[in-house]
Amino acid sequence: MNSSTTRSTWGATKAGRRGPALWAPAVAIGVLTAGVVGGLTYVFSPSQTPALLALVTAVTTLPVAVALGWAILVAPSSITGAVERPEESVESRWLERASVAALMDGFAMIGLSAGAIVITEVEVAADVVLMALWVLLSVDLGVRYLVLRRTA
Amino acid sequence: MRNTLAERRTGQGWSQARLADILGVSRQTVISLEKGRFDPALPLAFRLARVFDCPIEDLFTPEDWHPEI
Repeated sequence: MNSSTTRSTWGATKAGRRGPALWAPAVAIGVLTAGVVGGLTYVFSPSQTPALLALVTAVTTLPVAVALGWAILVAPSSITGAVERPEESVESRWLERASVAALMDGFAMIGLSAGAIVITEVEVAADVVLMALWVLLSVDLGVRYLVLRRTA
Repeated sequence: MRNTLAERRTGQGWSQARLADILGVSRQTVISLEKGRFDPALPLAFRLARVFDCPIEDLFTPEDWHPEI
């Protein structure tokens, strides 16, 4: 971090500059991302009311997209207590190891699930399967990270 | 990997947080390094050597390493 900047809850600020101003670029990225997602929904949706669906999708995506913008622009190097070289910290190693292990678990989960569905001939909606997979992998990653942190 | 980080740090009168701040890493990283549970990447190892003004091999010693030359 540059010595001419100060740390605040909102991120790195130049002297005399108010912290919340840092949200502007994060919000801009969020609006742009939500707009793109909404646009894609409008173009590809088979719905009878694609405009409404696109609007709802964009609005519900917006908070996550703004958080994404904040994470990209502000969080890595400027929040209070952030380290200068997170990529060299042990937490980065934990995340890397947990991610690799979760990816391997994902391969196994997908393979076993596909095999079970083929054998049992159970009809399952694709969105249900994908959502379940996403939740399982997220929980897997989180638990593995916590275990690594606890045993460190 | 065994290391002498804790001795050298306390010799300087630094806390783990102080060393972490100097290195630009988290305090947990220093804790894990000192316990020997985290082997640093080369850039961090070189910074440690520079901070303590000694060669890297004076800081870190591989476990069970017996070269046959």
